[in-house]
Amino acid sequence: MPGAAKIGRSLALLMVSILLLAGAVDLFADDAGRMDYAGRSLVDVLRDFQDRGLRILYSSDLVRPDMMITKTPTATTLHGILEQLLAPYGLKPAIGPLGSVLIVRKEIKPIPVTIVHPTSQQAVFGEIEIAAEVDSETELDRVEFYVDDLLMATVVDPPYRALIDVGEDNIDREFRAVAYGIWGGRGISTVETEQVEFEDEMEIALKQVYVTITRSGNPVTDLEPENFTVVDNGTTRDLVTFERGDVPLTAVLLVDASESMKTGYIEATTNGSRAFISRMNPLDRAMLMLFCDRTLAATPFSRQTDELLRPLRDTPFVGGTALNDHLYASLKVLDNQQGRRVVILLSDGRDVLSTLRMEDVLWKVRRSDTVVYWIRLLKRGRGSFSSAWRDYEENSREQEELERAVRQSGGRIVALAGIDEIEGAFDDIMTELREQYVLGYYPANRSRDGRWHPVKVKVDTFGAKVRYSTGYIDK
Amino acid sequence: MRAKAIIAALAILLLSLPAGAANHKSFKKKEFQKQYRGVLVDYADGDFEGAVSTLVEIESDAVAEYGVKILNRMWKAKLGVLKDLMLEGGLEVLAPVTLLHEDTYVAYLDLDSPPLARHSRTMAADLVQFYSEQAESPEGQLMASGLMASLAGRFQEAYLDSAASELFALALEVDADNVAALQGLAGIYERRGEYERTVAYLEELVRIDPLEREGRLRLAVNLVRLDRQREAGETLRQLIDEPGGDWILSLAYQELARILTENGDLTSARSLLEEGTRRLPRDPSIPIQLAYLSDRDQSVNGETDLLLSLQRRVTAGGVSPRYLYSQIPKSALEDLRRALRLERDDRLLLLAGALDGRDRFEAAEAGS
Repeated sequence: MPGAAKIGRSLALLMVSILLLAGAVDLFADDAGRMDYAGRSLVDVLRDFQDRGLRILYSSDLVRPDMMITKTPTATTLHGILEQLLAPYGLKPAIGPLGSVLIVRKEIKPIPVTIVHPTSQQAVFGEIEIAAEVDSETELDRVEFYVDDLLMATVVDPPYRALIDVGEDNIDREFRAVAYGIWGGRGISTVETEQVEFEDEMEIALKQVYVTITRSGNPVTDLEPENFTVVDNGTTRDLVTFERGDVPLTAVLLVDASESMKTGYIEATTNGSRAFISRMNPLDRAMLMLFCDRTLAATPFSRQTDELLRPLRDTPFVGGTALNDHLYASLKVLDNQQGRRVVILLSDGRDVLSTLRMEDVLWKVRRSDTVVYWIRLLKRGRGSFSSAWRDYEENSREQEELERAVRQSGGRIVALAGIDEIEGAFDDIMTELREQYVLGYYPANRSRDGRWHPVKVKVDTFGAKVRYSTGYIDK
Repeated sequence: MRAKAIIAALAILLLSLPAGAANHKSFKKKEFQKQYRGVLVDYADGDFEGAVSTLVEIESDAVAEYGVKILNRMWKAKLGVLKDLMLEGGLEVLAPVTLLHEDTYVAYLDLDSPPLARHSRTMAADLVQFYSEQAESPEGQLMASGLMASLAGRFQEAYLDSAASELFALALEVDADNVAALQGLAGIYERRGEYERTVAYLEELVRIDPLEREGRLRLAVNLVRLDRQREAGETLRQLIDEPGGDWILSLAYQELARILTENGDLTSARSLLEEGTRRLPRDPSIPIQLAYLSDRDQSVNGETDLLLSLQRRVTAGGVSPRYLYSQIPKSALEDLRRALRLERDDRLLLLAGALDGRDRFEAAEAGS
């Protein structure tokens, strides 16, 4: 008898399999071959199936009247249709006795989701980006982001990232991403960030150094923390943070708009700036400052292309050049900005009319974690000149000091042969910023003595050219 | 006697002309001279712009027709006309004619016509030096000095600093109190970085005109360059204490703050600039210098303040004080040129009389 029972069960399974897998869909479709399920209750639909001759068995504990169907299934087999109808409620069809379909609880596989930003190593304040990665094969309905159980954002389409403001309080925070599958199931990822610990004598200022590494002119982007050694003021420091170029940046696009910069320059500058802005990440921000002997335009920090580029359209290029004053002003307005601070200066470098000297700007550069790039226009030649404010010698010195300031900031001079290279220069700088390593460490022996602290970054990779800010003033 | 001396001098001038244009046999000298006299008639009638415009037209046509080598013959032809006019009206007819050629030079610069600009410049310079050599009365000497300084100013504006400084120096030889020449020379030597000579000229200028604000500001700026901070500081303080709200006041604040900063007195420098901001709320430079000082002084002056401050000044527009300082100093030149125009107008009757007399003489000659 056990053998007969086994045979009987096998036959029943076969019948159900034929019924479920081979079709019979037409039993449950309308005249056009489809059936509209959305908006109906699950119970109602199952009863419909029963009315059409399918033996469906379920417990009223599992299938409740309030379970509504939100999406019409896309499957073409009855088994598939049932799976999709039941999945959102953690249920699935199973083979029941005598060719029936039994509705049972589904063993739910969690959707693999991971919060990639912020990380648990970070202290988090203000506006930040929260980002999650989800197994690409999983069809998602949405990802919800929570901070300390408070729903902050819901994202329905990839990439699953959102800008949220967590406030300025120095507290522990729990970040949670919950991914919901279209056909049920969910996954959860949690990251806990910790408040910054204060002790009376503890130095909390994390120092960041931005490192660009190239080999034969090409970026080297595959290095790990163990490849780096940071020596601050003669003492090797442990790396506390290690990130690559996606660290948000705040940039000042500082454009010389003096009278001599007219032919084709505005258009080239607009295109270059647009190229730069278009590649900004959601947390990146920039401002555009146009200057001659005075400030011609200064936008707020923004990532809106129109807002940032409007001054280039509307502002007449006039007057002389007060480069030092405006480079200083750029560094100053960046002082309280978050993220990597960058100034991109577009000018021939011939300051004529500044109140400040370049040594004053250099003073500021050494106290500012700002990288200065100088897109240098050479159309008026490299020689010195005299003016009412400075003689040849002093103007030469000013230009040399500007070059020095750029180098010490960890930036570089991008010398152009013509204005047609401006757009490419902006683009190259953004690429470089994206490929930078950002190393964080606690400085050694801080004494706030106003002295120069040299910084050395060693990289144990062959033939690499390493560029970074070579030090800072301990203030 | 006097007329003979003038003729002799012009003859020397004429003889010194290079013998060119011999091949330009078709150049109709008489006709050109007639046209030139017509220009002078217009000028004597007070149609100054029309006269310049016509002179530019006839000279440009001549160059277009005969090439630049014709310029020497044009020069001789014009001097021939002027010689006759001086015989009729005396040396003073040259004064307005010099100004006509100065204005024509400016017109050629505007038209970007280098050969004719050079020609016109040389013509004006020769006339003014000839006038200066021949003028004997104190009034004539003053006029000569003024004409030279005015023309030198034109050279300076065209960045012909060597020619300008030579002519300014000649103007000073004739009239040591020529403020425009002192200002011009100070400007040239300042741009060359010769600060001791700059200060010498500016000190002289301020001695002659102690209330001249721009001169005093420039003197203070240059005294700092010679490490004479105390004197500079006193001058700047005086400028600040005077009423007014001009670009000179702004620079007085900036430069005095710079002196205080370099002496390590950041607090005084900062409060000085704060006072400057109150008096000059639209000034574009002081907020940046103030932000820098606040940085140096570890003050709490915020970054947002600077950005907002710059943004507010964007809407205010205008030109920066430092830009104005970097321009060629013109205040004394402008005063001088106004005075020269009045002197010119006084001499136009002489010119008109000379032209009229010459016409009658020629008509009589033609009749006989």
